[in-house]
Amino acid sequence: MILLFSISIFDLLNPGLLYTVAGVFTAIIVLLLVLIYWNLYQRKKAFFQPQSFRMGFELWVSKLMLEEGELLKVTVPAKFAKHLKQPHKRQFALDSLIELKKSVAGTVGDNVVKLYLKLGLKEDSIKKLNSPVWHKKVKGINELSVMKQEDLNARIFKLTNNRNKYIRREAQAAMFNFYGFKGLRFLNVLTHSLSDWQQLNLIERLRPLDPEPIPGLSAWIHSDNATVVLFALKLAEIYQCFEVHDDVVSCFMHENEAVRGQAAKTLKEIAGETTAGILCERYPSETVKNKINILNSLTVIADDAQLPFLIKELDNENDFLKLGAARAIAAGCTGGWALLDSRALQQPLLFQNIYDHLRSELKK
Amino acid sequence: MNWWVIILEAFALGIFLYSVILFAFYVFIGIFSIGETRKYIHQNRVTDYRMIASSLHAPSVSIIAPAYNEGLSIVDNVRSLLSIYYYNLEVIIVNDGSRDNSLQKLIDAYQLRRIDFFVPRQIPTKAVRGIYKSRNPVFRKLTVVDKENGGKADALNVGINIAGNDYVICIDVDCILEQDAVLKMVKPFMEATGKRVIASGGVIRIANSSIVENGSLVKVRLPREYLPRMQTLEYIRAFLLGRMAWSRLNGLLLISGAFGAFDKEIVVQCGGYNRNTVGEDMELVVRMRRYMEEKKAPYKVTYIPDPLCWTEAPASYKVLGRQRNRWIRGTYETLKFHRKMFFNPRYRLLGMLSYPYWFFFELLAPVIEFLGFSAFFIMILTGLVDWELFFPLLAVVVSFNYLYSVFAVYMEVKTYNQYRRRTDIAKLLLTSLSEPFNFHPFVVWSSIRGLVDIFRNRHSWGDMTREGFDKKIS
Repeated sequence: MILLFSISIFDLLNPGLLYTVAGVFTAIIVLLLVLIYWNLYQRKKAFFQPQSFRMGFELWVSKLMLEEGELLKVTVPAKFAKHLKQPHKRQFALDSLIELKKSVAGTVGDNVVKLYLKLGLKEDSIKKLNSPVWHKKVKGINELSVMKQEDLNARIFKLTNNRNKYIRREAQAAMFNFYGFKGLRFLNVLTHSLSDWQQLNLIERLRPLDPEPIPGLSAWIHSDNATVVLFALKLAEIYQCFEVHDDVVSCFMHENEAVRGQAAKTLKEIAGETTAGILCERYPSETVKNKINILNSLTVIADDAQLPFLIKELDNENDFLKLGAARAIAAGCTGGWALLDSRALQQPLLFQNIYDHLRSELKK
Repeated sequence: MNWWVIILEAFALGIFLYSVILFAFYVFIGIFSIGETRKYIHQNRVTDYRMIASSLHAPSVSIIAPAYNEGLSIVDNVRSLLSIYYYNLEVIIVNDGSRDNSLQKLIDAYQLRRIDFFVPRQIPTKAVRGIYKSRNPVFRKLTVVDKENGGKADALNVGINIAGNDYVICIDVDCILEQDAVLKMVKPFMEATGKRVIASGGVIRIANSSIVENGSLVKVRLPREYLPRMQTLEYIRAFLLGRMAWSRLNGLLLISGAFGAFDKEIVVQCGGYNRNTVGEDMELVVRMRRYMEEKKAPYKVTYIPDPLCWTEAPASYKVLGRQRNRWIRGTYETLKFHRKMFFNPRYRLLGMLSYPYWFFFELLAPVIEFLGFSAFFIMILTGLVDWELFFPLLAVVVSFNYLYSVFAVYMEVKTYNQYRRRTDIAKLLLTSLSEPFNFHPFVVWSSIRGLVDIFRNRHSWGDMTREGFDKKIS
């Protein structure tokens, strides 16, 4: 709220100037109103007007996919050819084919790619790939990747270490789409971070593939890039790569907390006879978060040899560690339940609770 | 020139400069938010969320929803939460000593049985009376906690103690979340590489008059009533412009208590929610930021512009007044707890910009506006107002206000476009016309009452009576 008086400060303010400012604001408001309604109109138009093109195109594509015969000999109907000269309709056609390609495989998938090439949409994707605007480049890579345009792999491979994380991410996914496990070779040269999101994306893309030996896994575990090490450890965990057991153990010396924590998780899946002992040795120098990871792993791999260590941890001040140690004792040690039961009798308030909790959790 | 005139001139000059700086901030916020929202939309154009939703390797998330006397709608609300699309999810409902039959309703509806559960002592809370899980594997994600009444912050702390996952999403139990809300909230945490994301907020939208079926929003409609409609505009401005701009600066101080995701490890290290304030949501974010600043650890608080959470806004002046009264008290208490950061360069942007902005333009704004109004009326009575200057200045102020609202609506249409009918947009724009003369003065008045309550030592939360969403009639 601005107050006005007939005193000096406001002598400097000229009513004419103020009306002009208000007029400028009003003009911008009018402009924005026009833009708002223009936008709404465009959206409505985009939704209704090309409905015939949309439906017609999608129908034509699905018929083509189901028909047997040489797709390359098919001519594009004139009604679509006319529409396909307009950029936004070309993009619509491209997006439709991308969505279709994502949901089909085999011959139908190959036919989608053929149609993509026949309609000259690859040029559109390449144009985007060449764009200096990052999000256009990302879109271009995505389209080429989904359509498996492997001939562009050299150009896309260069982008796997791009400083823009979105370009980098899409290029990495493309390499993977082209070559599966072998496409992960970009990890050899990656100097930028591989985010958890991207790691998860790659892991999920790997899932439908038949497991195969992962070339370079050992080297990645020793990479200078901590995120590459982390990803390699996750792969070793998921694919149970026993051959890298010693490499994984060496990760306990890594300065990155997350790497050491993941090493503890991975060892659970590829444990040997000595693994539980190694985890107990590393335990005292770890952070609380990693101690919990170690105890979780010990729940699966500990045996009577770790019992003295675990009993000591029952006296730890941290409740999570206490619970973790009790869980490992109950799950892995001979007479574990009896031991916890006797502890519950000594300290009923705390250990009876833990005992009951574990009974409920482990002995459903 | 006598002393009276000098004081008046100084007062007027102060208010004038304050207004100019405030306007400059609004211009900056408006412009700065565009880039952040555009970037977010572009970066998600090729993101395939479906793949992550069913992943066994996605980070584990606990949704914590405190409930107090929510018996009327609790079963539907929980059903809505259980339908969220995310594999590694746990839904923790904390019954904060409700005096109604909320707990029994949950037990009956979800076939709950009491289990033995060891609650680790991480954050001190009121006693937990029991923990319940379902016998039916369909509801395996659900955990219900029954505890002694201790307020919202205490209930959230119990949820944090029980949560077994890396991230916690704290929500109001009556909020309706979009199916992909968790996926989108988790992404910023997973995308961070250099800086640790400690908290992430999502946009909250007004669901009054929208159609809700089985706890899910099936049709978005602009609120029919004036107050919720006005708040719709207010929320669009605050979330789509204000918070996106502050997020870009990494200067956010507030993530709404109705919907916020947190890194549990940092929350626990900070001691959880503060039970001694009615602004526990803002206080936690400020404390977490302060903690990271003092540790000199790189961090970020993010915001995502997707409309992911829908809530019911107060539809009566009485309830709205209580809400705004509480908000200003929460702001005051939070800023008071952390006054050490005020213009303290040790806290960098947090101390030098975010905190002072909140102090001057969120906490003091109602006081200054109220003083301005009061002085204005006194001057009318004493004949000191220069009417020739008053009207052009009023035109500037009002046109700027409309400009900011229209710009927010433009951003909404250009990005998420939730209200697709042209008439809805027209209604929203027309509603903004009355804001400076009706809604805004009421909000200022409620805030002043809140500040008075602080000095009268009143700390009540204030009942938030809900009217319920529109239901689909089959």
